[in-house]
Amino acid sequence: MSNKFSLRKVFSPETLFFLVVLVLAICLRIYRLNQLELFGDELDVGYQAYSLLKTRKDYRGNFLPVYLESFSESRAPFFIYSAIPFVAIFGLNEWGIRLTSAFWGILDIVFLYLLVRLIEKDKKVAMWAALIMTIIPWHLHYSRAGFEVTLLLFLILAGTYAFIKGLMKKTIWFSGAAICFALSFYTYNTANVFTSIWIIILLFVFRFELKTQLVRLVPALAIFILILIPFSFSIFRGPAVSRFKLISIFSDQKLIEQIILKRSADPQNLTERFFHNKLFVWSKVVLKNYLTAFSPQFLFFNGDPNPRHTVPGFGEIYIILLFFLLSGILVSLEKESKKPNIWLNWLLIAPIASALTVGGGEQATRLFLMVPPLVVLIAIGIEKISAKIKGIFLVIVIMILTYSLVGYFHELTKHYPQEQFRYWHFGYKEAINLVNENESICRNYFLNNSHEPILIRYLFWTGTDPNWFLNNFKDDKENQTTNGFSNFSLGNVFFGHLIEENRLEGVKRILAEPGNCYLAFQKDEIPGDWNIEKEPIRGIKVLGLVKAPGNKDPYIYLLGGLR
Amino acid sequence: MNLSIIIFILLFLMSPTPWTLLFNFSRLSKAEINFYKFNSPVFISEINFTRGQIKEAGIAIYGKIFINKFTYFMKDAGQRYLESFDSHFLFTQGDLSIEKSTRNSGPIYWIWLPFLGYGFYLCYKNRSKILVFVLLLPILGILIREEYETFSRLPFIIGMYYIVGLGVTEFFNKKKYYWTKALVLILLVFEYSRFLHYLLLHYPYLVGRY
Repeated sequence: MSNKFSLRKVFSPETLFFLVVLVLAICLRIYRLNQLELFGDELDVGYQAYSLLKTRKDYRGNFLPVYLESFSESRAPFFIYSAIPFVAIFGLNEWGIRLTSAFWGILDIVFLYLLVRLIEKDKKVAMWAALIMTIIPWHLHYSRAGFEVTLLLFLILAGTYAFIKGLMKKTIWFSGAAICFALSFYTYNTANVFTSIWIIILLFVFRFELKTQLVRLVPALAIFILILIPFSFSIFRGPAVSRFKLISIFSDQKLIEQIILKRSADPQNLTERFFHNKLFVWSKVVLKNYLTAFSPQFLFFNGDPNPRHTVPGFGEIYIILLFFLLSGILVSLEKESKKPNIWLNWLLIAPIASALTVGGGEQATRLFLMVPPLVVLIAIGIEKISAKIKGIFLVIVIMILTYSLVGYFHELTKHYPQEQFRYWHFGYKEAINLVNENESICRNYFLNNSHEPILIRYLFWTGTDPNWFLNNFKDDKENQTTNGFSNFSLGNVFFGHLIEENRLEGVKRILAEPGNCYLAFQKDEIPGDWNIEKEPIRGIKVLGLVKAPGNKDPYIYLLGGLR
Repeated sequence: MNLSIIIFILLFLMSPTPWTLLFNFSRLSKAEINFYKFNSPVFISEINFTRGQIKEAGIAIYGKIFINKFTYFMKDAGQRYLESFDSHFLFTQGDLSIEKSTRNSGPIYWIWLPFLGYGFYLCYKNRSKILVFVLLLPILGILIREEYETFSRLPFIIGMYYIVGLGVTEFFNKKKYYWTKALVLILLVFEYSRFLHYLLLHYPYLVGRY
């Protein structure tokens, strides 16, 4: 009888290669993870997870909510719930939040490998796919920040894997697929469109296999519907669609204004109504967004225009992989099979959800589900070419990939944090730490809320007890004025902004009262480039200063009065 | 005469680019051609800046091998080559110059997109030489300084019209899909009318004709 767990199988070249890829994936995803400051959404995830951990409520007081209520919007819950163990173990900091994404990112690679092996029945293509996904900027970037998309991708990959396994093996696999697909609706809004279409495609592609075993799908269908019941209530009550309403093209007033402007050229002319109307404009915008998702500029050269989503100067995929991508697409089209190609179908439907949103053509987060089919098509291309040109070709490919990765990773870890720190809302962590350190001096704190919402930053970096917060917080609308400072308050902390135009005078007036401290910003309350630490202002004492990375210019001051 | 040639000529006559260039013929005939400068100061300073950053990281030799005029030019050339296949250029906005594009559509109507894909597939399946020409022609776009420039890409655009024509011919030669064919014709007429409407009513205001 053969030993299933023989050493030869455990240490086969394939297994060793996969382990090397996994170790590389882990190292790339956790190295200097705390280098960049947490931005607003990450802080919100962290504090929500912390609140759920401590109180089983979100920080607005809803007990184990289906949709979490934040200060500005409702949030899909699953990623936040999955962050709870990481926050519990690593604490309320960069590691607690970002290790969640890194964890799901690593699982993405594992399940992509398994899925590709299952569908393509080719170990080499699976290994290449795992390696490519490990190193491409798109996946690497999002695995290193607190975005929900790595979890969404895991659920889609795992769900697809379980579905196909269910066709071959036990019915319980279908239930696993149902759970994964249903949970994707609770993870990120893109799933509302993508998962719905993807399930239909899977059922269509495998319709012949399912024809004789439809009854096996019944338990999975029941589980799917059961899990989605709370979600459907959220759709009707609003939280599940509130985010979409904010960003969809159908709510974009600029498009309506365009139509009005065009029609105003000749208002009496009926052809103006015929050619300039909502249907046409929306169709055009959706198509434009959809096609932009495939543009070389977005994929290979510039990426997402938002520096928080992409390292400037790099595309989402290394340009050198374009040739293999095209080869992979041609190979997939040439394949003689009665079944539609899974990866091409996936690639075609992935941008649809994003195309319905403003700027969705270049939004790397909403387009994240394009990653697996692109990676697999590249892997197919590499394998096809390396099968024809053996020997030195593999060495050249590895060298090129290494060069691309080293260049990108160097930029990501060395220059990007110094050049793009503003997009990561740099400065607030140190600023709030200054607030903590000066508790013995300051009785009241006035925190400038006009740049980024500072309340969530205050709660996170002070580790405010969620129970205390729930009992003491009333509203985040500026409903009072204190010494010319429009604000809302929490205990002895006032969050708001100065009403008068001469903000420096406003600061002086607030600090004239003993025990008051003010968190001020360069180029706002402190005009121009005036460094008041070196050139002090009468009546104001600099209790602490946050300097910008790189050039070390003053950025945020904690100011106190001289009395 | 070959049906695909007839359709190609019809498509060419209906497409936005010839009409827009004709509309602005008097201005464009006086326009200067700006060729790509291989020794532009911006180029050189970018290379020096990046090499400086790499030198600070202590791997100066990496900078000398991988950051030089050749690699920068190759990256820039690759980018310009791929501009020709950018959906903004081909379908939605066209040339950045208002005199070579209405900025309301590219050289190819979006309704032609499925036929473009089908035409490419047919060319690949039949190993047609036209595919090689269409893939080589965007190289001309690299020689001009302006990005997304139309004149240097005219041979490429005409090649694309031919491929669309192939796709359209093959589709309309099929004996079924009557309703789809009718719908395609209606959409084609709509797109052409929309373009003409924009060219004659709105575009003149954009180029300051009035």
